Amino acid sequence: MISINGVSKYYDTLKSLDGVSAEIKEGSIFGLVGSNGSGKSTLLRIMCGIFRPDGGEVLYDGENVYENVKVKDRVVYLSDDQFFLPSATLGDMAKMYASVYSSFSWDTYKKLVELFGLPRTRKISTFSKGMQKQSAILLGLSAKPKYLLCDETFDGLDPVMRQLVKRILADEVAENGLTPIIASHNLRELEDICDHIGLLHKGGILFESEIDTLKENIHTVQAVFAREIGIEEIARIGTVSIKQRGSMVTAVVRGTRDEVKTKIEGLDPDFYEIIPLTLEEIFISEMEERGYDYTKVVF
Amino acid sequence: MTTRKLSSEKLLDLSLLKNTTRRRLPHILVAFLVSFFTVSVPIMMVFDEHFLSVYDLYDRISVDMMIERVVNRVSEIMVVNLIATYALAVYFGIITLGYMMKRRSAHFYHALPQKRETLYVTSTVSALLCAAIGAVVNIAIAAGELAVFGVGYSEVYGAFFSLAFNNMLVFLSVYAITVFAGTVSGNRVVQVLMTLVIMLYPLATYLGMILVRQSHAMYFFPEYYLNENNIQWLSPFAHVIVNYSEKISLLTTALALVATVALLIGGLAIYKKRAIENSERPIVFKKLGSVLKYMFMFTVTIFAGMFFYNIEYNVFSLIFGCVSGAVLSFMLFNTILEKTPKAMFKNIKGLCIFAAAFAVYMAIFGFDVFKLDKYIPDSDDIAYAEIDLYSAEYDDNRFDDPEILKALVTVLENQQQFNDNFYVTPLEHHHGSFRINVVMHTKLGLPVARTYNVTKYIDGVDEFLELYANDERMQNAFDKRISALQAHTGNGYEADLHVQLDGYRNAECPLDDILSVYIGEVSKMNYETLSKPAIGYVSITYINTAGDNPSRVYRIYDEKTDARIFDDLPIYADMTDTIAYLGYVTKNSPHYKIAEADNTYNVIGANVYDTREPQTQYYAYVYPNRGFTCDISRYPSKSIDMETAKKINDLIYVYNHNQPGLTSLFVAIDKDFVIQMKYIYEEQVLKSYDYTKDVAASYETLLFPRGMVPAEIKSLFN
Repeated sequence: MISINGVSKYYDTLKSLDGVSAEIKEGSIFGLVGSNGSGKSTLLRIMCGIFRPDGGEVLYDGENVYENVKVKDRVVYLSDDQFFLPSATLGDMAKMYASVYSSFSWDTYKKLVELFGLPRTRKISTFSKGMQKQSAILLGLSAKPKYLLCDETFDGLDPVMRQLVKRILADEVAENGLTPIIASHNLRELEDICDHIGLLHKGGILFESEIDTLKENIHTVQAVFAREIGIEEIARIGTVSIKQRGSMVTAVVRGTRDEVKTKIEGLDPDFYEIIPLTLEEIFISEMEERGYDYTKVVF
Repeated sequence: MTTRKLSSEKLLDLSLLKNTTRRRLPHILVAFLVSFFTVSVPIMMVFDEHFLSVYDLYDRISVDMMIERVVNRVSEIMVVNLIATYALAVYFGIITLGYMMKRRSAHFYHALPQKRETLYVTSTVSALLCAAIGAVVNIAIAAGELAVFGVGYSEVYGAFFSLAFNNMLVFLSVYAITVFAGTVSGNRVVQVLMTLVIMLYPLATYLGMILVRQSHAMYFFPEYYLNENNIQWLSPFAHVIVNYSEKISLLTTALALVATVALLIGGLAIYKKRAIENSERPIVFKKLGSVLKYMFMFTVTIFAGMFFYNIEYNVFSLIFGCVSGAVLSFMLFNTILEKTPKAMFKNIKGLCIFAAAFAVYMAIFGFDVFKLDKYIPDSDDIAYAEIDLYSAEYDDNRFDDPEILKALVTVLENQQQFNDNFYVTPLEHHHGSFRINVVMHTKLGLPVARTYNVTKYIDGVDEFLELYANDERMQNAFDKRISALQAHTGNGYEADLHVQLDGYRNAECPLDDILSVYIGEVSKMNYETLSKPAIGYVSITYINTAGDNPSRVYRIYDEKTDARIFDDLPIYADMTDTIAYLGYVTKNSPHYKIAEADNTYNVIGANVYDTREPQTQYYAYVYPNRGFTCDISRYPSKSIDMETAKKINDLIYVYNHNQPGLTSLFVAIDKDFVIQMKYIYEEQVLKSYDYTKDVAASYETLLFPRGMVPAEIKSLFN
């Protein structure tokens, strides 16, 4: 388990992270979402031990990651801006990884090379941006980490490759207990792979939760009332937001599907429909409830 | 899956080392090439004279000649060699921390499961290994080549390995400096600049501070502070320049190795503190950047100020130079630190504080507002003093006798008082003053180095000179020099005499003959002897009659110290045998001649000056380290007729012209009167130059030896 305890980071006088705390359970896929400059990359670099936090700590199973070889041996960081040794081929890079990661698996490496279809003897500097991204993922996974920190990993991958990577990650989670932490500014990207999500804004986590829990506990209700009904009356059932157009009311209501059903039926609508929210819609609702403009927090 | 164990706590990760070194193979080639061109090629060039092959040359020259040429070549090529080695060391220093200079690579390496010290040590060892492999392979090939060509003599190998060893020491120390510089800088250009700064800054700043002290400090003794034996330790560059032709000493070797280790360990300590997010910043520690900025500004400001001051010698030039240097360096450093010219004027407040602090510094050391230059320790506070008097320098110049220290301080204080009152120095003649260089070491260990132009007219001089001359070191120095001369008598040397008696003479005689006569008559070398005016001297050079070329004349050098020895022997009026011998030798010598120049003058009158009361100058312009101008017309004077002047000239002329350096320093002079002779050329000389008598008249000021002032002179001012 990763415990992020009150992590702060300053660049000179500029505050990048301000007391960030979160817990990431083993085997989960954690999505870290936030707009540009929200501190996602900084948090990942602290989490993989590159940066020393100015305050707080990041613990992996109770051990601080900073300058801790034992912990870092289980963590691989895939930067948004990959680095490869000058003139190195994929094979050279694999040798490099093998020389520093104790769990590096040549079998996995060979398997992934086949899967991605990358040339082993060509210089990586001649690869396309997408191929370089694939190379970084391939090498990172070959190191057989317990925790994989991915910064904008899906950027630059074509849709097919994106799906392939997601599938590989899901397999690793299922088979080897990998815990990927994926930072992205694109919520839609994370929705279909992550089971946990954290929202970072202006150096702080606005909230973090399991996606399923989020989805299960909030629903949109579209209802038609023949009678006259006021917004205040509808709000009594615990709505997050309400929109009314004539006889049709659209409300976001907290609660499980059954709870929402009970609540809405109590208002005696002529017709109603309970629709699950997309992750983006949940975020919009959550942000609005916390007084933020969602479009300024994400995207 | 691999079964490799974690290298968690290791300083050196062999697996990473192997991987890193393998990727650095091209750098091994660079090291090999530099070693090839700095060690092998120069050595092989020794055999390449006239484009002959090694085999041809081997037939033509002797083994001894070959060895001599190899050994000499080692020192000849040292400078070129060192420059290449410096460059190689800087190159490898850059490679070592290259991964720290780009954000991407810095993040990549520090995300790896390696401790920072492991990354640093592994990279450093890898770089050194690459350099060593390149050099060793080359040396092995070259050594083998020497053996194959039949020139593998121990001396040749000695010179060869000595060169390689020197290069290695230079490489290690410069490499360590470059790596150290790299730990505080975030890009390669700044790393190289920092390397230069570390190597040159202490020396440059020190020299700048000496320049400042020298600008207005009349008694400042720069030679002491600029002694190459001391300043060589301020910079590896200086050390190499001072010692490049010498074999590197054990001390230097030890210091270079200690410095290398210390710098690499210091670099590691800094590296561990370094924030990785600061990669690509010129200076990764913000506060250090500010400190470096002001240090840099300080030195630039000094040199800019001194540059302009030396053009015009006025305060405005100095201020203009200082302000220009400070502002421009401030703007430049701000631009470098912030990586944008927009930051040129950032922190003007800091510039103002710097300007104020620099003004205080200049007031203290440049303009000597607090009179540091005039500080003379109390004689009781002096542990010992190193005293050098021109032409009477002892081998051991340390004095700790309270009596002479007291006399020394008295002379210095009186001289300062004399200068402070702007008294006219009665005479600039070299018999009337002497230079004293002194370093007074206080009991607190503070060296106070001063130089004074001491005029013999001030109180306390006689007492000091007497104590100095009566020290047993004077006799020892004289004996040692006579011994050194005698050591040459058995080698077939002959004396080539330049005798100054009643005229200029030149002659040859056996060296031991003149020495035996002279030693038989010379008195003990103490103040009593030396304060007497000499009537002439013998200057000796020698001819090696045993050599192939007997006409070649050498000065005499001490065989042990290689220093030129004292070879002007004073002749006093009572040395009748010596004078007679010299008269005989010179008249019978084929080289005998009496120069005519001194006889072309006729005395036509003189002015006598009463110097009993010191006179103040019209204006006092102080030459740093030189004293005041001489304006003897400020003293009361009387003119005397031609006959009296001629009589006095005949009496004292020889004493004023025939003093060798040693007696010139100690000879006792009369402090009450000075005479200025008026001379004129002979008629025939006048015609040849077409001068009028008035135009051709010239003046020379003469001193009276003590006790030789005629009664008619004394009566002039009564």
